[in-house]
Amino acid sequence: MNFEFSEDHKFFRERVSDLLKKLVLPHASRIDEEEGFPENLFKEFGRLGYFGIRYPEEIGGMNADCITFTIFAEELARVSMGFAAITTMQCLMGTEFIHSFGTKEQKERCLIPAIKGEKVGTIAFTEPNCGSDLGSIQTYAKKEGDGYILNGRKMWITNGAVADFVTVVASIDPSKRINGLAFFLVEKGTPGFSVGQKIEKISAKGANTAELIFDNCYLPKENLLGEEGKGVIYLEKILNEIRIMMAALGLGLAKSAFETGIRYAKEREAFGRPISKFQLIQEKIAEMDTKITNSQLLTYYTAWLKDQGRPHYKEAAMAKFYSTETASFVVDEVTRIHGAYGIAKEYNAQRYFRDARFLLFGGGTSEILKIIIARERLKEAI
Amino acid sequence: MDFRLTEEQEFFRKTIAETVDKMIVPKADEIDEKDEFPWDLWREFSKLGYLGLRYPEEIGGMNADPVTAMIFYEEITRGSVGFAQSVIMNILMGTYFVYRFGSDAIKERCLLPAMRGEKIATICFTEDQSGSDLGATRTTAVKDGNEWVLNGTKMWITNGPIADFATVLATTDPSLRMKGLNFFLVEKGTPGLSYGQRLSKLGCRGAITGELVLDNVRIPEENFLGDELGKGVVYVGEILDEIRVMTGAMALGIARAAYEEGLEYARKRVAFGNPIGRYQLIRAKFADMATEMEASRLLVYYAAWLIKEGLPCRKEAAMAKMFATETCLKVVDEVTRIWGANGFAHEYRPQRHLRDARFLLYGGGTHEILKDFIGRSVIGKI
Repeated sequence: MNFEFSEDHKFFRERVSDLLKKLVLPHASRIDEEEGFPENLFKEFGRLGYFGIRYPEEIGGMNADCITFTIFAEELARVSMGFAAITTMQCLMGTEFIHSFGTKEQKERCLIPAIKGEKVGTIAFTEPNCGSDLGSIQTYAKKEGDGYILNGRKMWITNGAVADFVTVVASIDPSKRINGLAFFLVEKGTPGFSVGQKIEKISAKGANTAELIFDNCYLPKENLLGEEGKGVIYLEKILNEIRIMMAALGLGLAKSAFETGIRYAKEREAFGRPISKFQLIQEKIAEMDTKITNSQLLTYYTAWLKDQGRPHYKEAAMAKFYSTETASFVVDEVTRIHGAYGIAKEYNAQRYFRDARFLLFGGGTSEILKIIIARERLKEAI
Repeated sequence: MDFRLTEEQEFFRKTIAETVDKMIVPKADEIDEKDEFPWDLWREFSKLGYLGLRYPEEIGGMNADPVTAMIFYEEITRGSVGFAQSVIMNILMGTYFVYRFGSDAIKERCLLPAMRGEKIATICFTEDQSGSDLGATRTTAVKDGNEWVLNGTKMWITNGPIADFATVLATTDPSLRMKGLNFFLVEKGTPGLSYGQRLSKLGCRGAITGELVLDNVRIPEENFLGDELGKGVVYVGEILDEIRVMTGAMALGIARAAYEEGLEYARKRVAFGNPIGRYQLIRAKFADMATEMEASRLLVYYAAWLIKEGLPCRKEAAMAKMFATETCLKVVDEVTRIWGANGFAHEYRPQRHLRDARFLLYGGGTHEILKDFIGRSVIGKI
């Protein structure tokens, strides 16, 4: 057994952490307050090549393994959940299917500029009446001549209002439910494609979130990414990675919040001594530290399983569930340690508290994940 | 034993609930969004006479018993925490010491107009370095002939920036710590009194919270609120139980509002072909919420009944505040989970309840302080 990160991993973490502290951290509160898309920051970050972290070097990527990507997501969440949400969308879900299935032209038009930070990509799953239950997707792609006519509405789309291209999950046959899904590439400027309402939310505020509307959008057949009906199979290919990434975001957020809490507990005095001297505060610190350590182990263990090519479906669900619940626990305790300052907008504690809620839904709610974990375990030998 | 409310109390609940539904609920979202004091609502609501809830009929009050008062606190908070906090400040903490110790002239000038909503009241305990630890109060009151000279800065003052008069906790001898504390009345317009920065808070928005700065504020001897020097803490003890149980009642109010939202959604939202209320994991959430809310309700009204009967209840009041508030935090957490990602969209109410509930953690004693107190009471001197 070896729990140590490799020299490469350590070096990567140090480099990315220094960069984010310099580049993003000074803007974290502003990103949260303004709730707009931090365009300049996005472009600057893109020039450094991080949006291609998962992709091969030949196309300008970094060819990073899952452990490295996990470190990346964790460090992002340590500084700004809004910027982390934007970036992970660009690195993973927003570009993956174009990388896997796009034509050469599509890659040149969408993927390569996205890696450079010149274009913004996103993916559109959720609808007003469908979240965890993908089988009830109502966005419909009807065959027409040599292409498809797309109709429907997508909700909760990260980067939605500024996206240059979208990977849309639509049904080609609603009666087949989950087996009737397919992915389509829709680019900005396509007639019938528009941005609906902007969704204001309490978490990850810098990542603008919007509704997307597809009203009789004609898509040529090459915009079908992959094969008809295989959407769910493709999705499963990156689902584990999404869950590991969400776990990493939870871990990063929990660590930053925890450090803020420790700092405050050491500084703040009550009854003549720093509150860190009181047992009830020490209990909180002990519980938080233990849980964060568990999140860390579970998250990187799952990333390691993936890098080793071993099965990790159940572990990814566990990591996402445990790490995001830990983040929720930690931000709760940290706002308690801060006393009333825990709800003052002036301090970071309340931002961490709000941001933790963002992690509870994407990649599977805790309720859905518990069911998945239990079902997987029940399939295994006793 | 009889767990029923009296007919009078039942009637009171019905009346105030209807008023809250009609007058406050429709404005709650706007109060939260604008984070401004709702003057129009204040004037409209004041006309109904509730601001004199606890005071004798002879001076225009309603002479409500503690159980009736809790019904009021619960119902109004169900409507809007921000508005409730301002109202309750005028009803209870902001006027109590003026009622108890004020001269006739002071009552005429401050208490009676406050009961009619013509003046806004507040109380000032907290300072930058003193919250739970009142003994660390640094605001000083020094006798100079027939006057008192006050110096210091008070933080987290509800209604602070708009208050017409404030009951200020100050020390007349810092070396005596708790035994050097006293209350003084400071009215708007007194030279040296100014309003410092306004605090932007995560929850309970619409209740204006800010700093009060006292820079050589000179007040006449008459403004000393008490019978003898050094008894400030003893006087706090007279309403401490009521403040704590009141906070518990507020927690019940928020929990009920959130719970109703959760119920409606669980019945309506469909996933995997069923309303989500049919799934065991969702039913379990309602079972826990309903049970804990019922237990909170019993504890809050039991403590109120103890106060009404004049029976000792320091421990029970602390329990009621802590348990009802923790229940409330759990309910708002679960309700935002039931709502899925919609739980953190500004468009819907669950995120407001989630933010508002945090406000109740601190006032009346943090739960760390209360646990320590309850534990100490139970274990006794050893």
